[in-house]
Amino acid sequence: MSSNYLTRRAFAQQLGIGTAALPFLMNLSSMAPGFSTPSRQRMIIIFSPNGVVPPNFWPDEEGDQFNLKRIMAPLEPFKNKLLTLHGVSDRIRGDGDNHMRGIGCLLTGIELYPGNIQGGSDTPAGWASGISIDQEIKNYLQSRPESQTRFGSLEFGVGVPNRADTWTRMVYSGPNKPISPIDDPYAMFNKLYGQRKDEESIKSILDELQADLAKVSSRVSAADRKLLDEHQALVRDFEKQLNSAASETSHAVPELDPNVEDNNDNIPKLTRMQMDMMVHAMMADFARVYTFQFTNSVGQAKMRWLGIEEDHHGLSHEPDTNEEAVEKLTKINIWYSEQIAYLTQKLADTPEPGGEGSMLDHTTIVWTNELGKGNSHTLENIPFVLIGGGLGFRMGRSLKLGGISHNRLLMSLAHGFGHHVPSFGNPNHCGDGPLVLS
Amino acid sequence: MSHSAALPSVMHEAIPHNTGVPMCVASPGLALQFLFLGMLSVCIFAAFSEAAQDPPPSFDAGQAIYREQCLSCHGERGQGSTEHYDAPLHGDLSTNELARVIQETMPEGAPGSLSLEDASRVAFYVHHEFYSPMAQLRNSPPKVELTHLTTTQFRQSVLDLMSPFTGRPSEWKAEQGLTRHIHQGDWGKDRKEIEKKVDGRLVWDWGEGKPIPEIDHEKWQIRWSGSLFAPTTGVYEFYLDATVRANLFVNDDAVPLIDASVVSFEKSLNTATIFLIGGHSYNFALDISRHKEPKARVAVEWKQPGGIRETIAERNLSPTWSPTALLCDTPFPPDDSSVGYERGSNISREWYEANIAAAINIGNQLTANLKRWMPRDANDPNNADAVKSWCHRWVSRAIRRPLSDDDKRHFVDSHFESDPSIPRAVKKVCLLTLTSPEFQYPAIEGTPDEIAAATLALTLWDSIPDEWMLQSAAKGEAHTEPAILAMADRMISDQRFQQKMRSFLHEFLGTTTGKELTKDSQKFPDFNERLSADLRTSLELFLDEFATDPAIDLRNLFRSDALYLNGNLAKHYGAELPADAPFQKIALPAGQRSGVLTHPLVMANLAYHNNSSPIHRGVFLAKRVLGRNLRPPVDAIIPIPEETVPGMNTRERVAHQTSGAMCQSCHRVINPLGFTMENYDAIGRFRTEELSRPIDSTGSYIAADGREVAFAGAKDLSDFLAASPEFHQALVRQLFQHFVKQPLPAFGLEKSAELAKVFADEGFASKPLMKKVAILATQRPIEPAKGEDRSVSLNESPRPEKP
Repeated sequence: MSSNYLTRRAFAQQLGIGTAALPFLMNLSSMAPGFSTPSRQRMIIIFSPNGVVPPNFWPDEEGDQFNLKRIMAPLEPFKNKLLTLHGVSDRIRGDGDNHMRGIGCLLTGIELYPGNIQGGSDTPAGWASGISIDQEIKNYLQSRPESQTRFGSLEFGVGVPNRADTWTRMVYSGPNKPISPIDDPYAMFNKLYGQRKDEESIKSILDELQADLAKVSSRVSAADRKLLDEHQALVRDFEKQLNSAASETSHAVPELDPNVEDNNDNIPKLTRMQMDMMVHAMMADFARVYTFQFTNSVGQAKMRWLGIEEDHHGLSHEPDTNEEAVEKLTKINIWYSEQIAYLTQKLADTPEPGGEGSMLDHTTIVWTNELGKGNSHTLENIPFVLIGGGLGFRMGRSLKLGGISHNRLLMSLAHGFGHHVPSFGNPNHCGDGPLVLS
Repeated sequence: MSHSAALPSVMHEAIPHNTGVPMCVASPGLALQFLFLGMLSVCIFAAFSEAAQDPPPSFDAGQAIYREQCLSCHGERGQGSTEHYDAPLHGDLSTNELARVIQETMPEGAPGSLSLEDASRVAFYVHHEFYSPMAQLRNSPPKVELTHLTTTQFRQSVLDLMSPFTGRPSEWKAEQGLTRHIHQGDWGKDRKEIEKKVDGRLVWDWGEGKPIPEIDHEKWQIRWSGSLFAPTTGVYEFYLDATVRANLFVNDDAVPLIDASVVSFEKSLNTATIFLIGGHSYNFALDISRHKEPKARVAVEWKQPGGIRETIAERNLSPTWSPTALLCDTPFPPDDSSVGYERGSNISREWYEANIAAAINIGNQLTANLKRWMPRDANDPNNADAVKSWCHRWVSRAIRRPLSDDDKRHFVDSHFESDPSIPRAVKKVCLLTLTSPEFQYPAIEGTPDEIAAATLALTLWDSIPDEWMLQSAAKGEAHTEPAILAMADRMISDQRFQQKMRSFLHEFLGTTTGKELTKDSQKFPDFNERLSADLRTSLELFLDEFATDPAIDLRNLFRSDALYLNGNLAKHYGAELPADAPFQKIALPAGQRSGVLTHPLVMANLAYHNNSSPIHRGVFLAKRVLGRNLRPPVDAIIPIPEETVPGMNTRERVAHQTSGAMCQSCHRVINPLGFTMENYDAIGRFRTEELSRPIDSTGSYIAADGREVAFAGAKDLSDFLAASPEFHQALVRQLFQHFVKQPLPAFGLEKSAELAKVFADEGFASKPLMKKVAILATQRPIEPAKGEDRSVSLNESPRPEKP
């Protein structure tokens, strides 16, 4: 959980800019939605931690006739837009424990560097030694004028601990370069809309400032008054420019519930705020690639709102024979599933701006996890559930892939965007090329 | 240094009286006519103490002669006339010198026709009426002008705004280094302290070993903590190279500047930058923790603004803790410094936008972490009232006076009413306050006590009054002379005063950072970034003696035969030290160095990339040190290349090139001063020969009283300067203007002499002088709001242009 003790530096780091870099009146229209592009594609990778309860997660059937189990039941309304991929395995070995490699190699498909972070029993490790697939795709999209957006990618989080280590980072811009997710909705809001809000704040005080200047002006000599006259003229000009700039970039700014503290018990509320803001960002076409990280690998959320006092990771170590624990873990995963259903519904309900159909038709959600199953720490059968039409995959299916390397799925995501990478991550695991899902 | 930058010109526009007298450096008298016309200075600040002088008896006679023989060309009040001679008769020759020039060169067509007695009469008249700097000041006296906060003042004020809530750093103690704790064992389990001591070393390599033998556990942690002193304002880069888990904290004890908890063994070096305000100390800590890492090594280094990557010297570290400072790193356009000191007289769109961006920046920092600055959780709507009263106090400090109910409403309460989000309301308070004229233009609103406290804080600290001063103002005492003296006395021992003094000394010497010093790599293969950075450190250590000790005799600036040297510098600057020796003060053989004027960095600055520059040095000595007015350069001249005149040394080349009569009008002053520094080459090394011939460092100067002084070299010159009233006046005037940011004559034409007298009477120390400056600054003449022009009756001739 990110502490409220967010300093300016952390704040600036999260924004990815120095606070000094405040380009006023930056005309965003050059980064405005490119409505001329016929098929806008988006991807959202959603991470939830500590494995799933496989019997309550995976459909038993294969093919387009299948039944959703309890955990995926909330996604029932989107069953024909859903693709479950059983039998995809994280084959990356090397340094680090399975939680570390689980999250660190999940999107990078490559080994962790040797380092000093010591997990349970395996060798210690450092950061991942390569870029993650979302950033690879982002770079590809940003390199092409027709798919360029203001941010390229946005990294959301909820309840991510305020420490940077191998267990808390999933996204990498390159070897040894983890990117921190922004789990504070206010920080994300500032990143997306801070400048607009600042301009509003400035506008709201300019009249008072003019009055102050006039008052002071009356107390000084005629010679000195010239300086204050110039000052007043600047304030007037500035106001005019703010007004004209505001009319140019007048897409909606979402209203954020004020004063929600960033703590464990607010996770449901924070999740909604972040997801709503993500959809807003998509409407404004701020980015095409999104990640959404629930807590972290070894995440320890205590879902008291479900009546569960124990932390998630602790529960995930309980043996299958502990029925109470299995039930709680199922409920926890159902809750994650409900959140994804909420986001999916929201996308389904929102018409694609300047395009055909709903936003869901242009978006692919990838729900994943660092482990197949919590108590065994297995990297086999990593949960991969895809929803939506963004990448042109044939949906409404339950696939059993029998243990293929997850690098091939990562390649498919890139290929889905037209980025035909010959391999991704460790090429040894890319043997048969991208998984064909269309 | 480029060839042309700052090169004083030796070319002037055609002057009608030019008769082409040949060069003569050694006997200045021969070029007097050009001096007369050439020293047409327009500087209005130099002042000699003759304000109270009555016109001499010859005044009327002088006037009569002037009207008869001079007026047709030079105009009614020496302003010149377009058809004959359009430059005004302004200058700083003494009346005697002026009389000689007039006698020898005037009138046109019949020079020598006036008797010396008549020439003296005309000289008296001209000198008193419009020629002398004092006459010019009298004719168009400079005024105290309204100015806004300079960037330095803005940043320092914002930083100090937080001190009631965070505290100020404790005074810098003599003890250097950081507190080092060594622990062993697991956090929270069997962890125990093994050692605690003060230690300033931040570069260690223990290999597979242990930091101290007492450790008998494979897990151990070391924490170094204390404060870091930042000498200058700018962006600092930090380098953390560690093979164990490490976190470096700078000005923030909660979030590391560099988080190297994760070590990927392929990459142990991490860097980060942070903007720091100079003259301030910041909390600073390094945590390392060894768990299972095979080898233990850690190194923290920094790069100061404009500097090089180097270890952090112990003198920049203190074991005492400092609170987190609120830093405004928003870039501002440079302040106007055309008059020799920075002042907030420039209103531009860039400035205004920077002001707004800075306010937003501060608002962001405040609201990103309200808990850090405020006692209550600002996100809880129940605390709105507590946050409001926090804001009242904050605004009150910013505008330097208590808030009325209307003020509270205006600056704070209205924003809380119109915005349900507490952080957003706080941000608006911040925006309105930091862009408000009351913050930006101090000392307009308020009681005389509040204005006195505000002025004093600005003068001595570039900041806002502290609680103590505000209380004094509230009691109605702050405007009294005893109170001002008491406040000044205390303020002068503060780091902020020391920093302002430091920046003055750099301004005076022209060594303010930002200028890259490069030298001819063939001639000076050893002169590199490292040497240049060490020279700067050497100068800073020397200047620090004067900035931090307000009782020290400032004349010693010119008297020391010692240099601060380390092993690297010693090799090049004539001392024997081990190669890795740290900086220490080394007395050099007699006659080699005489204080700051001969400091290698100052000398290297005032030099070309391959040769010394007597012209740069002479101009610096005449203008800056002696306060003389030289005509601003009209055109840049490239110095004669060495190879085109083989066999000529630097002195001879300069003398040759400036031998023209027109050149000599200024160079007869410049060259004999600059030549005294010929013992210092382009990188400031002491030399006794050039081109296998002994250096001639003789020189001379005609003092304001007309007395000609001869110098055998830099030491003679420095001794002369230390005792010279001209230098004392030049120094106090520049000091005053640096601190007060207003022209000294605006406070009274006699003030320059008065301050110089205090300076001399009180042993040439900065403290009594600055206390006098403080009194003067708080008595600034305020223009009436109606804007009457005080000088209208005297000012008949067109006002001369400012330099």
